[in-house]
Amino acid sequence: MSAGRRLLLDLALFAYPPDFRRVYRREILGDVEESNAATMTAAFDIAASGLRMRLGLFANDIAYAARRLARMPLFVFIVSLTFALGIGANVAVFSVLNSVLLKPLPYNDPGRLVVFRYVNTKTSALAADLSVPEIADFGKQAGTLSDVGGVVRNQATLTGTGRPLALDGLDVTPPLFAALGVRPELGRFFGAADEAKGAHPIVISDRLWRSHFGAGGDIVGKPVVLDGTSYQIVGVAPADFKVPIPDEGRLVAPDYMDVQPDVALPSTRGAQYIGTIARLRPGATIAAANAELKLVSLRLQRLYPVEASLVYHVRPLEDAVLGDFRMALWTVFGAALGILIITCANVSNIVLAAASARDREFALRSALGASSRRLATQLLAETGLLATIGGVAGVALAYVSIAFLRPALAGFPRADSISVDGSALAYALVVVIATTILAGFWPMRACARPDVAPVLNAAGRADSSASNSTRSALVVVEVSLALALVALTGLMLRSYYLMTQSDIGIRQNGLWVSSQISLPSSRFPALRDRTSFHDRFLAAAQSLPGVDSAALGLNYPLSGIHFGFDFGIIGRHFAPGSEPVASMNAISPGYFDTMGIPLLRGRAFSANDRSDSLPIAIVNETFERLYAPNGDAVGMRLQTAGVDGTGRATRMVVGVVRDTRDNLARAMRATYYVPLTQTPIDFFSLDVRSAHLSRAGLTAELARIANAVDPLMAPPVPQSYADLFAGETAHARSAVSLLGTLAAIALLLALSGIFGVVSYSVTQRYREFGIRIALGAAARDIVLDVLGRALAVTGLGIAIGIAIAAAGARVIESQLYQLSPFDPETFALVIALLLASAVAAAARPAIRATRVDPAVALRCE
Amino acid sequence: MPKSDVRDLLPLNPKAFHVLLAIAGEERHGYAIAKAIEAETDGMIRLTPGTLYPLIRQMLVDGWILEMDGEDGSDARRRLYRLSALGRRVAQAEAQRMNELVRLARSHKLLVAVQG
Repeated sequence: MSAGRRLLLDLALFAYPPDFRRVYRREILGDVEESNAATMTAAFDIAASGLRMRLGLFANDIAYAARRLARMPLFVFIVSLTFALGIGANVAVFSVLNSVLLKPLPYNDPGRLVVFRYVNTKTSALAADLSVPEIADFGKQAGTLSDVGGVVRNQATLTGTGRPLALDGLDVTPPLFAALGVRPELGRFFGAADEAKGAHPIVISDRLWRSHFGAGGDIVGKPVVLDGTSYQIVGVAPADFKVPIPDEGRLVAPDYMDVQPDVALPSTRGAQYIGTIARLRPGATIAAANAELKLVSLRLQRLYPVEASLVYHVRPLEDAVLGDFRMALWTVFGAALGILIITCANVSNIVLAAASARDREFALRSALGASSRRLATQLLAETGLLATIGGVAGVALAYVSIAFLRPALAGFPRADSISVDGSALAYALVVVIATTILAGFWPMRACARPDVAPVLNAAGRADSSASNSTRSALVVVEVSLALALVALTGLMLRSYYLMTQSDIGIRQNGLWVSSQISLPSSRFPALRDRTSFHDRFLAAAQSLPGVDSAALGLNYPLSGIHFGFDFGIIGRHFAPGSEPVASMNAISPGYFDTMGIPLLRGRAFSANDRSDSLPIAIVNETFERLYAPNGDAVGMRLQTAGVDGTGRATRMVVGVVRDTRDNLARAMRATYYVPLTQTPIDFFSLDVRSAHLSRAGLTAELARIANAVDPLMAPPVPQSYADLFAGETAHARSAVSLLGTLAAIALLLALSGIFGVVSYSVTQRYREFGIRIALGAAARDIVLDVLGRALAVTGLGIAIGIAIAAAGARVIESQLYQLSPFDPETFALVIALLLASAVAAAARPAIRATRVDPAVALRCE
Repeated sequence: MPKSDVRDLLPLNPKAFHVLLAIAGEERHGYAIAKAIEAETDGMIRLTPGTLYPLIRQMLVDGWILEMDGEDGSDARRRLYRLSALGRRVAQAEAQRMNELVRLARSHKLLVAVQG
């Protein structure tokens, strides 16, 4: 026989189970040789026959396992329930991970999308927004990038289609759509021609098209009035179209998109407020793009003073949108894998306990000639069958829990797309196989080679101490992982609690802020028109029944945004490009009272501070600490930037107020406040303090006064600070809800593990307890004995668990809000919880041990 | 195994029956069994090694056939198989069953023409 023919046939023979191959290989090869069969035909015949044989054996094993399991319904119930919890938790967490993180973003070739950022090399400050001329420069000069587009949020009021409606929109530069590579549902997106001044093209959302334009196919070309300006609809965006906002790292679904108006104006290079997205050209890498951008930055630095010390770079869009969530979600996924290990340890334990009762059966069958390999395979088939039942139940559990947790998951990006889909089912299959192997390993080892003689002789009573210590070790694993998980969850929970309780510098109870109100320049062309509106609207709000006080402000604490401006200090010199930056807020008199922000020194704004009186400002503590020469800001004179049509001004600081936060995560910012009369901005919020008004009542009142003051104004919607906190902490809440569910499952499994092992040891020591009771042992001693052993196992688990938790805490440290990763209170509580749980789990078996009837126990053999 | 139990095993897989027939008269090794069946059925039934040996192994496990210790002189590599008492009873029962079937077919005039 040629070597090639022999090799091929030998390979085919591997399809057979090894014992069959050993016995018949020679004869089969001999027959093939003698019959002169074609090599390929013979090889196929052999391989097919081998696979048939293996399938037959597999089916036999499954059928045998099913028959055996049918006789132990309680065992089946407990083990499959354990599997269902572990697998269900994993499938649910994987579904979240996959939907939020792993699935590609909904754009063409999203891996090549990048967002711009720049570093100020003098201050090391990092910022994400560019100006219109800069975007145009990079569009022309960056050869590694195509389609450099800008996007910035905007709001507008839709009129002419029934009641005025406030819309959330986006101002974009035309290349944005080409960068994202998405096609409109109807009509077209913007092109270069749309940049011309005077044209007002607009793309509306699928939702708006359906709700306000009757989903008509002839929508393209129709006019629509926003903020008093007529726009022409050129397209309808596809349903679920979302645009990434680089600065916020969020995908938003706009009601409309129009062309960034500055595109058509000779706008200033320093007005950096537009998020910028681009696409890497084929073959270009991030590194290549950044090398090129560095050169372009240097060129710009030489040409324009405002570009001095700014170096631009890009990073993947995915990092900007999903980066903040990676750590949290992988932490949760890690916790789910921990649950899986606990599940397997628990199942191993139950199977071991049940199997030691079967030692006799296995020993007997082993003595009758069943190979240890066959016995192990049968045990694995049983575990696999149970894991499969648990897997099916687990997938169902995952469906239910995702539906149940959906509101809590809203803090994750793309939360609406979270579902148990095909890849989650594939993951479930992988998990079933992995758990079968992991959970089946120890029982297989312990049972596949039972020491035949002692088991048969001892009438099945003997139980090796090796198997006992395996079971204890498994419980130690369970307890340690459960402790680690509960501890990490405890840290996250406490951090979440601290976050919701954090002091943002105001009195929150009874405080409401309205959605943004904007005054279109078409109807409010002059500054005095705005001031007149401010006065009338504020007076109307203040006179509402039930309103204790009201104020207007450009910004409010916890808004999540801030308006940063360069400023100068009279008497000090700053090099160009390194002027200090502070947050600016323009407010009406009564703002600090309404918000509950204490005035620390000086005075607040009053009705006497008008547009023509002395320009003044109030600063916060951080501002004072950073910039006041001798610790007192009152009397300082600041050079402030002009905003919204107002000019630069030299302002006298007249007061100092407490710090407030615009964002829970960031440090306090230096802030200066200016009177609204001296900076009559065209968009602002109404702040209302009311001890009694309900949300519905306030909403109705605001709609009424809005309509009375200006019928073309969309009614502002009030938000309470509880709403704002909920929005601000949604991300943490989502992670905590997932982790909390996992920790509860882990604790439950660990408890059942402790219960199982203690209960089993009591059964084993039945005679011993009988004898001790017969000899007069007190119930208390017996209970302490049993509890002591349970606590010994738990204690070891806790010790190891603390080490694991400490390592894990280091990993999640960055996600903790004002909390040490080794917070002693949290750890102490968790340890106490585990110990109490261990005592609770061991209590029943311990009491059972005291009720052993000596007569029965001694007669037992 | 009592006789009534043997009837429970019927009808046999035709290939298994042929194997039993092939070694009813004399002990044979695997390849010889396959050759004998091919000859006896005019090539209608061919047993490839992939069919034959799993069948032989199953019949060994079930105790229908016995494996002879390899005799010196003949082909040393080959194992020889012969019928066990049980295997003989199984084969007889199958033959009996077929015989009754044939009788039934005759009574329904299905085999008249062939009767010569």
